[in-house]
Amino acid sequence: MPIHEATYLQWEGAVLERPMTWFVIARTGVRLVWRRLLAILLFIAAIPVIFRGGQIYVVTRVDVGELPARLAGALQIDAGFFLNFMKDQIYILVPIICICGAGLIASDRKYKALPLYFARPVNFWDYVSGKFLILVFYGGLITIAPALLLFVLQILLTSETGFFNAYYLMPLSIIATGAVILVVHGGLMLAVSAFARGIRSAVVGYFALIFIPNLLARILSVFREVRWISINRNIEQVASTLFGRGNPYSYPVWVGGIILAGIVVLCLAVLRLRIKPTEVVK
Amino acid sequence: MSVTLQDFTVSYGRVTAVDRISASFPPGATGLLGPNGAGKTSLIRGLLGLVPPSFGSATILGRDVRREQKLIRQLIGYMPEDDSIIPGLTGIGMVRYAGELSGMSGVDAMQRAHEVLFLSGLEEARYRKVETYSAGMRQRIKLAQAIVHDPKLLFLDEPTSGMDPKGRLEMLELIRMIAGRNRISIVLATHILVDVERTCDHVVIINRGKLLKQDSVGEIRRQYAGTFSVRVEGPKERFEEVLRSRGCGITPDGAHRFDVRLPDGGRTELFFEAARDSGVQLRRLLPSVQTLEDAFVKLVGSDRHADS
Repeated sequence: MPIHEATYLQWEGAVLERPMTWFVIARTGVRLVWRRLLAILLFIAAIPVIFRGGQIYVVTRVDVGELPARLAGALQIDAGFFLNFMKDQIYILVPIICICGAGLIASDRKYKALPLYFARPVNFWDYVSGKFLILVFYGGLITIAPALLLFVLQILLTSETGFFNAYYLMPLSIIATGAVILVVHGGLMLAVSAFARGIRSAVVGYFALIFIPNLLARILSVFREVRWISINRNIEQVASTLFGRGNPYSYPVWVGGIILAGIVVLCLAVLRLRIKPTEVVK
Repeated sequence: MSVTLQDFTVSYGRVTAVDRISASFPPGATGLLGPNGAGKTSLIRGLLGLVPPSFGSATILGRDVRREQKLIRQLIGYMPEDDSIIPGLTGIGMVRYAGELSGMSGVDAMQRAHEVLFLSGLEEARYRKVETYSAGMRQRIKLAQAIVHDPKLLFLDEPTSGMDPKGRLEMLELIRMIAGRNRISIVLATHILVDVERTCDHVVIINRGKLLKQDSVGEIRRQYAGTFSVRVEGPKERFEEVLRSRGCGITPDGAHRFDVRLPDGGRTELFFEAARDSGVQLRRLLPSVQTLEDAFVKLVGSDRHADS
């Protein structure tokens, strides 16, 4: 008589009536990405945070009035400090988004995994929001989380309440700016990943969409104000308003806002078009 | 009934892949049989809502496929025909993930993933990345992810394609084992008739998107059991006349050959008597349908013949 026989065993448990499949997709994706080179990259991304943290430490410990005016101005901790930090972090965010996001949908399409998702209680929005949250998690670690950390550090290190009284709404500006950055860059990466045939072409496509308009805007702006063609310039324009600073470029902020909203809508349309449970060969 | 279809139609633009099929799949194992391009995969995709049905209605386990999609998807398991895997995950990771997506808790999904991978014969390879799996292993992991949440109805689309003979037999054995549990119904879509004969009780035969026949495997065999392939030398017309007068149905099959269907209760002696009475030599007398394959070939062949 066999001591163990392989047979089909019935499962006595019960499945959740409304499973949060978007959360399962996001959690699994975050774990998967973490195993790659991301830990090293996040460490590299932490360098500017350490640098800015050092700046806060110096400013709160040294009498700034004794420093030359130019240096004192550069070291000042105000809304501009946090705005510049967020703007700088975009350039670290781009490679991180590439590593995390290029394969998110492209690999699923390459390995024909979509029917495995959509034959389960997963719909288009569950799938897309799950994948998007993976980018939000890592993108947030680069942008929102360190900016909030620096804000807290500034409050903890300064003995006066003046800073807090002046900038108590700063966390909201940080979160709103982070949201704009992540929605635009995350949406763009997902759309490119859905459109591309593989990870490599997704990376190339994403870089092209970010840097080519940027370069064109730089060149053409010598003759005319066309910085609105650059995604990052539009983000900077909107972010400056969110931080209560003046517009850095000479076109209205609503133009930037509409262009960014248009990009997000376009990305959603591409995702709708490309994410099909099955590919039909015509 | 596990599945019922009423004028169910699936179209891709102008191409109609499933054309007004009305059928019912009883509980148990049902073979969805048809040659390549018959519309088997499209029918399953339409039922699962992966492709929106363009006309008609269908129910799965008594639930409407248009209105109760999400609920249905919790109750069914689907093993796609394509070489589908979720990249980046190990075998155990993929099956666990599939379980969680179906609504299982993480702990349950992990425990169950070990069970079904053991059952599928992948216990040794469960910690390997699924991208490194061979074609046969990928078939097994697809089956494992389909059964992890213990579905009530299992759709298997060409489950043995790309498998070596040993692996194929093991897969069929596994399917038989699952079908043997009374709680689980199976729809097995394939063009390999032997697979259906080995595993299924019922069969639905489709060709070019249309329903050709549905019945139990035994009944289909029985229906064709009284048919014989006959070849004679001599006055063929006279022989046919005698057979017709004795209640036989005759279908020509070449210059000297024809298929003869005996009347109910008819015995093979009738052929010898007719040959004697009509003065022909009987050169060939064979049962023309012995297996489901023969019935299938006849049905699909007659469908093509009728169309031309």
